[in-house]
Amino acid sequence: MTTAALTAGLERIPDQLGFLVISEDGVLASAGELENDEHTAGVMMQMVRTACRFRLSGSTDAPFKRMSVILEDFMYVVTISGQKVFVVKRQNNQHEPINV
Amino acid sequence: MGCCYSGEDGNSREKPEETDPLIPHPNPVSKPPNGTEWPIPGVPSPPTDGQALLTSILTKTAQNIIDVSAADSVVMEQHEIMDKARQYSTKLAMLSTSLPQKKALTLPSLTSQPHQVLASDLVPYSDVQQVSKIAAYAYSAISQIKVDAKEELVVQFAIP
Repeated sequence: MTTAALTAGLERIPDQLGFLVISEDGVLASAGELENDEHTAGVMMQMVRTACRFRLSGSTDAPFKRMSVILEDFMYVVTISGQKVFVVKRQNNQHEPINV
Repeated sequence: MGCCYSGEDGNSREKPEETDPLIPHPNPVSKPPNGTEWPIPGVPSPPTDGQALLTSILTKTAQNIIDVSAADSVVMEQHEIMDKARQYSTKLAMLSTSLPQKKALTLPSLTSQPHQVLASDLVPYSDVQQVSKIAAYAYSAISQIKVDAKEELVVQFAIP
């Protein structure tokens, strides 16, 4: 898959604020609020590598498809496919439900 | 008077020349320092110069030389050496086959549909709340782990 094909799909993700495509060698593509954000790329790589080491008992595969780093107003959603790490910054629309 | 001598092509010369030392030097320093010459037999050279030069060469060599024979040597039987060599080569073979495997596992593929996975619904807020609560309970439990000292660690033996 070419980089353009990869990024085209990411751009269409609803309420996305930016994205990164990272490989073992470095950042392959970046856009939006994550454009040129090597620092976030580094942090996300470390986090996802750590998460990949978790194993549920009796399983050999990583026990998750997507990692979400949930902050106040936005979140990072991360997944790995074909030796590449995809990070998308999305708006966090979910908040404490207001009891009226 | 004399000519400069170099020990590097010493083996290629067949007949002994005038400048060949009659007695081979115990510490083989065949190259004389730049600009100096070997003492030629038959021609008296000033002893102080030659002596001082020789002493300086000797001291410099003695400082630089590492005498391996003086070190404590590990005496190993031939078969022990062979065993160790076999041990190391099998260990190396094991490591060399396992290492590339490890490299491949560093980034496992979580999905073949990254866009779909990333675009799908966010984690429900209620789930996030529940997990946060569980994590807070776990943290609280861990922080309450303490040592319950029952007895003294050090006791006196009473010998009746």
